[in-house]
Amino acid sequence: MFEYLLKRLSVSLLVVLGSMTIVFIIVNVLPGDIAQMLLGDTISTEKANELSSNLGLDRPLAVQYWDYITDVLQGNLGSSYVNQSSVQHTLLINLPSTIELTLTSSLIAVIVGILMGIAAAVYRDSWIDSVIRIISLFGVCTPTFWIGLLLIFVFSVHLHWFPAIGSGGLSHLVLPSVGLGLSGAGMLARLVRNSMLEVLHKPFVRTLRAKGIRESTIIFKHMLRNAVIPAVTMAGMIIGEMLAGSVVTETVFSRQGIGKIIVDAINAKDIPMIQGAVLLTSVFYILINLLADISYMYIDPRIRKMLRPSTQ
Amino acid sequence: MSVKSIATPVQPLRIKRRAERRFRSVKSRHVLLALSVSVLLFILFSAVAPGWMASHSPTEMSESILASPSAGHLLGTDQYGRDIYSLLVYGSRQSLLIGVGSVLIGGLLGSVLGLTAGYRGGWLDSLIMRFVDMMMTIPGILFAILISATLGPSLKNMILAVGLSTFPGYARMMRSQVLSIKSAPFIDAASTIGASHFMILRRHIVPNCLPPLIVMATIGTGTAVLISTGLSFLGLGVIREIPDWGYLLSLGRSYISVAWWISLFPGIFISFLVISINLLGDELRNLLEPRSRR
Repeated sequence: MFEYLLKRLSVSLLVVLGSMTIVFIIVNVLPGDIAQMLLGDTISTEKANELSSNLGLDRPLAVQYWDYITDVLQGNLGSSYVNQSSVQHTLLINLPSTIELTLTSSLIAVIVGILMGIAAAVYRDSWIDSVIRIISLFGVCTPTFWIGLLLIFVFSVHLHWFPAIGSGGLSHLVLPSVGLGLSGAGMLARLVRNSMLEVLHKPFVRTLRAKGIRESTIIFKHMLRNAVIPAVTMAGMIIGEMLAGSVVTETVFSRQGIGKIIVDAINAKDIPMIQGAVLLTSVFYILINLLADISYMYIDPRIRKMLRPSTQ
Repeated sequence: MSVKSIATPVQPLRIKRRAERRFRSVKSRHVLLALSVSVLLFILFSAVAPGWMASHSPTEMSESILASPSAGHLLGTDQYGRDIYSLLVYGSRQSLLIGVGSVLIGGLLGSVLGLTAGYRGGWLDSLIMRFVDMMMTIPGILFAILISATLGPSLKNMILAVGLSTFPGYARMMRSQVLSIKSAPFIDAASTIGASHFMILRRHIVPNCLPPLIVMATIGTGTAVLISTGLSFLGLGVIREIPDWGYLLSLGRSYISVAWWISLFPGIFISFLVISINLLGDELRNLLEPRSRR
């Protein structure tokens, strides 16, 4: 098992290196003159060239790449084009609030998604199933920023239950998390429904019924445990989606966080900041998937068993 | 149906009832399909001939600014007095162009890579697939943000950004599809009678890969629309006189307490388009891939 963890971890490290390379390629190899873009079209080419050399953009690509990789591995993400402040410093200050939103919305997505999936499977082909199907379709197909705006309109503007914008206490977290969580819940509900339906006719469920076990116990203790296994890998993906989605949701609610940093950086054409923020988010994404893989192993004893002989 | 009834043995009456319910569900599926096709046709017409579909000129600024929906302005007006419905009709061309264009780019690139990886195998396969794995580690929307921020805002770049952020999915699907077909006996037979690799790919492998590809591309169009409206919402969209749906929605954000219609209707247009595309994709899956029917 330890061997597996080690292997998985080293693969993840390689993947991090890979995503660093891709971010570098996009920023430096794709056509698009950064200096020209920063200064606007009206500025002469000489001025642009001067800025390029100041920013070190005129060095050979291989040199730039090597410097970039070594800098990032030393925890240096460069400095902002706009105010020369350190990119990683700005990002780290804003990271907690993004993680907060990611976790709460994932929690909502997982709880609501699993409950909806169970309900849809248990009452399959009934109106409950149809309603849940429609809710999850809307959750998947509706832009999260729009759901966020609707929530603001209903719960802040009209009902005054929650503050519309800003960050702070728990009350600021409710609307963004619900808005973001619903889209994840939609994805998960479909999956849980299908895997519950598969378990529904397994012999062990019939045996449990024959033994006279309460239906709720069968559903929540025995069926759910089996049905939830495919949902766990999905959950890793969903947390990743929530992380990426928080970029947009933070903008809707004017919350502090990585998303707002990215949007401000886009408007200021602050490439190092965008680059750093995307990289940091990707690293988290990779980390989350690693954790999902490991938890998969803990939930499903069959996988543990499969791995054991190699370590003995 | 109560929770208990799953447990009881199946009785003739119940079978009948279940059959009826299934019949009803087939009927409701057809109604849904008809609805989604009408939504798609409406948006298609708006994209092709916006002048016919719109009630006002999208640049016409009337005196009634921030007017609520009425007979004169079906979906209200924005802060400049422009008619929201007409803006949405004129904006549909861009949404469709981005959706279809990026799927063409992403689908084509992904399919070619997936086909090559799956058919050739060996080191080329590992190389391509590791590349695809790496691309997958950057969440789609962030990838698109990065590309469009570096390339600058234009329709072409937006299509490129969304297309490039979606190709890894196609590559993975095509590769697994090729692998499952490649081992079939009729491929062996074809190469035994001397068919060239090109012939085998063209006559046997590609046609067999098409059904899942068509389904994926259909649903991918919806995803592309979602990503692109997200980009416009963040301010990475194309800056034109007529705002696209995502940008219009973001403009309405500042007026949400006084003019909810500016944000509400673009959102409805986006959702209805994406939902219709998804339902169409589901239906295509039922048609083209009967084995995966639920």
